Amino acid sequence: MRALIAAIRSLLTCARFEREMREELAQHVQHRADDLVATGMPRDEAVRQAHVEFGAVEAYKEQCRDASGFASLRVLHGFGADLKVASRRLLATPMFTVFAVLSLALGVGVTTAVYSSVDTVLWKDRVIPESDRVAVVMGAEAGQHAVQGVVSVPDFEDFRAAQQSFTRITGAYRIVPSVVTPDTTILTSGEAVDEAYFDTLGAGVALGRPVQRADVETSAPVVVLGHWLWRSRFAGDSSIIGRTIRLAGRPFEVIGVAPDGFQGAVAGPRRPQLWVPSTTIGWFGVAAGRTVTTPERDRRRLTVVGRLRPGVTVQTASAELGSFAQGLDAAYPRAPRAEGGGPPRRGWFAKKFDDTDRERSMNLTAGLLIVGLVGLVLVVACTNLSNLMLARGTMRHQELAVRGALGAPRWRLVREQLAETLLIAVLGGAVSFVVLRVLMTVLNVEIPIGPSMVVSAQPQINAAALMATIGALLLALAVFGLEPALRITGTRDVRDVLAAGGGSVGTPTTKRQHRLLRWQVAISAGFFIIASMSARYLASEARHDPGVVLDRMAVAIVSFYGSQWDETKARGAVDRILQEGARTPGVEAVAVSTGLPFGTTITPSAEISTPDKPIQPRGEHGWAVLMAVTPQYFRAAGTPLLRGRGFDDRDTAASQRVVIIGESAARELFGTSDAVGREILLKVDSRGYRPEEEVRRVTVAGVAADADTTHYSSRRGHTVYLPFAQEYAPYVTVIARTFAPDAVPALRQLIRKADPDVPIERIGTAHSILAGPYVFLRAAGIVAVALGALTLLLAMVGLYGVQSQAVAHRTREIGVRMSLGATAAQVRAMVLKDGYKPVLQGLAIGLFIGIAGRAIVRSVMVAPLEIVDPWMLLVVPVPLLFAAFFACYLPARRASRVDPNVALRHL
Amino acid sequence: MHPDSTGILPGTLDLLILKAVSLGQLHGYGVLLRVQQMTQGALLVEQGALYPALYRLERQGLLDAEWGTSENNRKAKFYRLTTSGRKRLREQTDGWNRMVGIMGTALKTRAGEV
Repeated sequence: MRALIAAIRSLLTCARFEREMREELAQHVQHRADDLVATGMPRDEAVRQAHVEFGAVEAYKEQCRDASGFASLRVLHGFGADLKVASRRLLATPMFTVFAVLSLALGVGVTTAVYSSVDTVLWKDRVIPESDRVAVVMGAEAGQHAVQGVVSVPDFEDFRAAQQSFTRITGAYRIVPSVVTPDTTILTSGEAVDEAYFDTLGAGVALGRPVQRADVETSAPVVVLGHWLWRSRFAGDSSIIGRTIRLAGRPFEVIGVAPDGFQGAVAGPRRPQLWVPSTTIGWFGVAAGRTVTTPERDRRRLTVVGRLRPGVTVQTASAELGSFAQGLDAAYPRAPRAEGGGPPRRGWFAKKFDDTDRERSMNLTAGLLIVGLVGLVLVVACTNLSNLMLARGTMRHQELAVRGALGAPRWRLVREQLAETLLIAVLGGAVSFVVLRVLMTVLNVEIPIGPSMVVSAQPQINAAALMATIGALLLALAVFGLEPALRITGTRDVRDVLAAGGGSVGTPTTKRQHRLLRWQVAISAGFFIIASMSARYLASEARHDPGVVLDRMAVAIVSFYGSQWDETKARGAVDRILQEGARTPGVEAVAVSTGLPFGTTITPSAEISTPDKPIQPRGEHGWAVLMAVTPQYFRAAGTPLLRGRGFDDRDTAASQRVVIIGESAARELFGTSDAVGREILLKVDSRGYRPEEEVRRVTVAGVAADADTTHYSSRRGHTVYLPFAQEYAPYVTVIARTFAPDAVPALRQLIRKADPDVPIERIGTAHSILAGPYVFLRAAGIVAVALGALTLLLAMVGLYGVQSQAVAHRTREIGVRMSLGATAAQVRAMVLKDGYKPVLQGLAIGLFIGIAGRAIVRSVMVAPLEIVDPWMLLVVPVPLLFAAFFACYLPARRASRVDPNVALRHL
Repeated sequence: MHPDSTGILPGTLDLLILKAVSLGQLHGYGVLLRVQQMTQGALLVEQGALYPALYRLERQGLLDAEWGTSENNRKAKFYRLTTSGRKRLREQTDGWNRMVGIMGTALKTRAGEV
């Protein structure tokens, strides 16, 4: 401590000494100049003369330091002085400083923030250590589909005893229990697991303990909660360990919380969010009261995951699995009347855990794409910084050379440069911290990343990414900042540098700058071309009317599956919800429906026809999304009724069967004649809820406006609405339209007040649930446009800098040209042409980058977008060329104003 | 610079500075002028070379310095002789005079006198 104080004190003394010495010497020169002025010399001439008489100031300063005993601390205090000089120099060139700091800050901030959120949102599975050594047992389903959850318990036990490929192996059941949370009852995914599960996946637990052997042996009612579930539903309360929560109607003791991002072994849209011992599986039966008659070997319900033994490849494991399964096939052929009509063969093989899930691999691709784009931003930031530093270094050629000749030691000049670099880095770091904080706040939202998946993004700054980014930029800064100083000070003869000072085209630096510039333009053009894709999409989206007004609307997906619900109970809950909705102030309308026209995966469909025509096999025509809705539906969804009547209290279970059909369905079935009052046929595909497929004859009561079907902005099917009173499904959506912009809190509260036991599977704004991936796409589009603009700006700043400097460098040459008769216009054209060359080359390269980028984007995104779009080829180069014109024109104009007399005097 | 000026003898700059400052406190440029005045411009001192010597003397405790305002109304660091500086000046002046005497005598010696 004392040593530290002493060090600081001596540092301060040094700084003071340095300050006073500079001041004293400067004052000496001024005094001398005063005297010279008194003899009649002009002031600036006098100052110059005084400097000359004073002699080699740097050398004398060194001697002064030696004489005063500060030489021992020279490196330190000298650096302080260097920093001061550097800061003055940076202040003297504010444009350079601002752009350098901005390049650095945006480079670090944007790259790190985006990478971090991609990392936390899309690549969370990396909580499993060495996930490439984890393999999942797959089996052949009917057809060629490979699925998980294909191993029966006795098969698994036999294989576990005999297998050689895995160090550890585990089997897990998929369960979908309701969970009573402090807020509401929700339905969530989980797994019933054995004691090897957490060991095999290797992720461990964040809190408490995993499921252990004793739990499995005693069928203990214990549960490990998923991190997200714990955080979002139990407020991240650590004291939850040891508490009891209700799962599927039974009390379970919470024994642990899984690590953040752990999503279990079972792939699929709904990630497991809790884990119970496998022996409790009996409590999570699908339908109560159904007796299971299937032989045990045919109840193939386990997902089997193993960790490969060192040296064993997935192929080897596959081979072992395959031959073992053949043996089982021979010993225990599938019973002839097996449930579900699955394949007789087991057909086991192994697949890498990382490759099992389409969504996971899609996310990986999307993540890579985003990281690629962000990497491009980093490259542009780096090249920009390099360019700025190169330009600056070249500007200082002469200064450095002269100072070197006057006796400034080489390491001193280099150190000064280092100080400047350090200052820029520190400033950039400070600004990038702000940028990072802002971006992290902005990105801390719920991001829908798939049709049935919303990830609550709580990005944490990724330290590795931060380090890599900072490292890259500092490297660019150091290499291009220090290199000129090193090179010039390495030159023996100052005359070489001074002679070259007038400079001409094609100096190595200029060539290098042009090369860097070309790539900058290429990248920013590429970006723009990719970004134009989303701009195009955004424009079409703005014009698109999905048929449901998504603003001010909230959607909750509710499941009445499970033993504690039946149709009567569910209808009771629905009635209470509707009554509560009618009572709640601020709510315009609440409705319950068995699905929505688009954006939900639960909605059944039906084939439609008129009674005089037989129902066609399912094709492009006569197919409709089928929804049973309560009377307020049309108001709540914002779908207007065009003709006839809506549903009301007249429509009961006992009354005449009626439907409301979409406009396009009416047109297809009845042409221009009025559909109201006519009969149609419906063949309902009820997705197995009702075993038999029936053809119903119903009367059209009204015609509603069309809506998108299946997906947002897709209109492949028609819409048919039934009264909820006449049709039931255990999977429903509750929608609410409010007067306030955010309808979600009202809906959540309303359902809880009506019936706290209603299991909500998902709740959110209509935008996020129904148009989820499109929200993501839109966000990505906006980010792409912003990044594109950013890179363009950076590239143009670079171009301006290089051109200005080139012109300054070529003053003498231009002077000679002009004195030999070149006109101002010719000089301008020459400079413009010189500046445009790298821009045009960059554009050509950028076009390829852009088209390749679009092809990649298209492969990941769901929206229909073209890869090559003539519009983009027309629009993208225009702002670039325009900006390039400005960047080149200003220096060109300056060049054309060179006075040959002045220019030649410097010869 | 004086046309006939000659380079200064090693070691004599310190003595000249002490002498100059002993006549009244001076800033660096003032010391230069005073030295030129005292030597009638016959000695050539590069202006910058003054400062390492000033700093050395200050460090040895022979000079004391403080900031003030010069006659040109500029900021300047004024040097003043300390007690030990005065003592050193006396010793060195004596030493110099003795040396001059010795040297003078030595150099006047003719062949017959030895």
